[in-house]
Amino acid sequence: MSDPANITLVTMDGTTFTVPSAYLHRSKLVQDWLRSEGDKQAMEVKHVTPFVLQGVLNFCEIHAEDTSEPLADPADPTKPFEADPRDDAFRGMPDDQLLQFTMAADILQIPELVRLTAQEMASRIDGKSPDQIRAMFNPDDLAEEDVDSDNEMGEVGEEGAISK
Amino acid sequence: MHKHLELTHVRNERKRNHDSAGIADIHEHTSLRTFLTLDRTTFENVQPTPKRQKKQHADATGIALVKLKPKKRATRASILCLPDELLLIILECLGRDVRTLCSLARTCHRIYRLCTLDLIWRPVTAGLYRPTTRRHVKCYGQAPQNDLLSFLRNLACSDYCFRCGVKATSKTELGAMGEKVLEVLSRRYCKGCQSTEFINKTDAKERFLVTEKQLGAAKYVPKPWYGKQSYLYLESTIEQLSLERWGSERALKEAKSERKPRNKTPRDFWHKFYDPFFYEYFDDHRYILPPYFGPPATSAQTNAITVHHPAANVTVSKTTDTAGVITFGNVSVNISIGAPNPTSGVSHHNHQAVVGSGSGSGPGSSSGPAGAQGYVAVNGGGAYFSLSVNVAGGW
Repeated sequence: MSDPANITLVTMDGTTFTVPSAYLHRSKLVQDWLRSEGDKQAMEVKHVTPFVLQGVLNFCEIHAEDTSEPLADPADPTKPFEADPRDDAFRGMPDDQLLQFTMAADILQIPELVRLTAQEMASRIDGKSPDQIRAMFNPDDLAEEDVDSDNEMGEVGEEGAISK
Repeated sequence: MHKHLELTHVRNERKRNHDSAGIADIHEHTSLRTFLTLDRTTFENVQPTPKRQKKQHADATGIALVKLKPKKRATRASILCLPDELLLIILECLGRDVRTLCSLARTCHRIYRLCTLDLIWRPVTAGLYRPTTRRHVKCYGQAPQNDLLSFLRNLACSDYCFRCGVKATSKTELGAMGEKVLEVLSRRYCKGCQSTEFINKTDAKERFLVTEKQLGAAKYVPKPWYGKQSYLYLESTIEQLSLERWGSERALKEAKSERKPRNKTPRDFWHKFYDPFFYEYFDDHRYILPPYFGPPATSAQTNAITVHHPAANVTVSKTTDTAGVITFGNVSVNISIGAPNPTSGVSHHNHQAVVGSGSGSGPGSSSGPAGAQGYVAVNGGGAYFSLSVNVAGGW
């Protein structure tokens, strides 16, 4: 297995990022790609915009020296999530970006980043009404029949809801 | 544990057959039966519904009130871009807040299906069964393993006790307050839990130091109490109000310690009367005690024997000069047979019969100040027989 010092990542619109391979030791996707046979010139990361990839690489850079065990399961209930002060920049970003980061983290398969973003999204969703959640994360991009059945479903859900 | 019952397994399953599996079968394969589970047949046999005619709502001026905008292609990032396994991770991170889960389920169809997974509700149900704080154990017994949503729904409505999960099978089990509790709090408490979960107004003010104003907003169960009405509050509600007011449990404790204890009669008020030293005070100060505090009345002779028959209330006293005293309640009969008593011989010699007026002073007579006395004495030479009847009046 060859272990190059630098890895070049290509985003969806052709922008290239060259980073030390130590940054990406958490990314299962990159590790699998390194292990696989074939041309190791540049790795193409589809569906990721340069801005988001830049952010993800920043995260990787911050956490490059971390020696903790890689997370097997991003939502492990036995390991409580503790906020890292180095990640405050990621926690403060707007909702749209947060979604894109979650997506990118899932594509690159970095469990730490998945956990961070999922926790952040969960904390934003927490205690919100359906309308507020819709405004935040825009899940109503549906066909018309879906919207109709959605309303019916919503009523059922309301009845099933437990006032705590 | 069964493989399907692990949420991680569900996520991996979703990841593996991402393209092939439809959304509908996530319930089919992984979920246990829940009341919200969609019926399989409705999805299998469903035909693509024909597009409805879009109505133009137009008023008189002809301006369309509802704009028919063309469907946009992802102008904004949507949560629906995320794959199911990622959504499940987010749902898992949400924790145990039922309200959030329900409101999230209402946002869209796909998230609704994920939210109604039985496994998502497991921590919620488990949370009911685990002590969240050290003081309250919410439910007892073992948490249900499946059918969690219907369990929760039943818990929320009437036939299960909200705290211990006991199902009421008869109307008496609902308890006297059952109907009212259900009406006010929309949950049921069994009789045992009612006594522990509710707190009345006085206790609420005293133990949690909440104000009347705060209590005005809280829900209460009116309970008839000696023609008046008592207010029963949920203890958890009161605790929350108290936290709102004082900030922390510690602050509440400090505030409580600063306050004077309520001035009320001590419970052991009567104890001092059982204390023998309590009466020394009266001795020292030469108080005249009422006679029942005095020593029990004994006959003048130290060697007298008194026999008391409790059923007939008869007392017979025998003294050395073989005199017998028979007492019936207030009436005492004094019989003495023997040699003439030198001290009382004078009065016996005169064959007196004195009735009325408390001048008589027969031996062993215990007449009170208002007592009546009959006195007969027969003096036959050497032998002596006397009979005296004392009727003692009231004290």
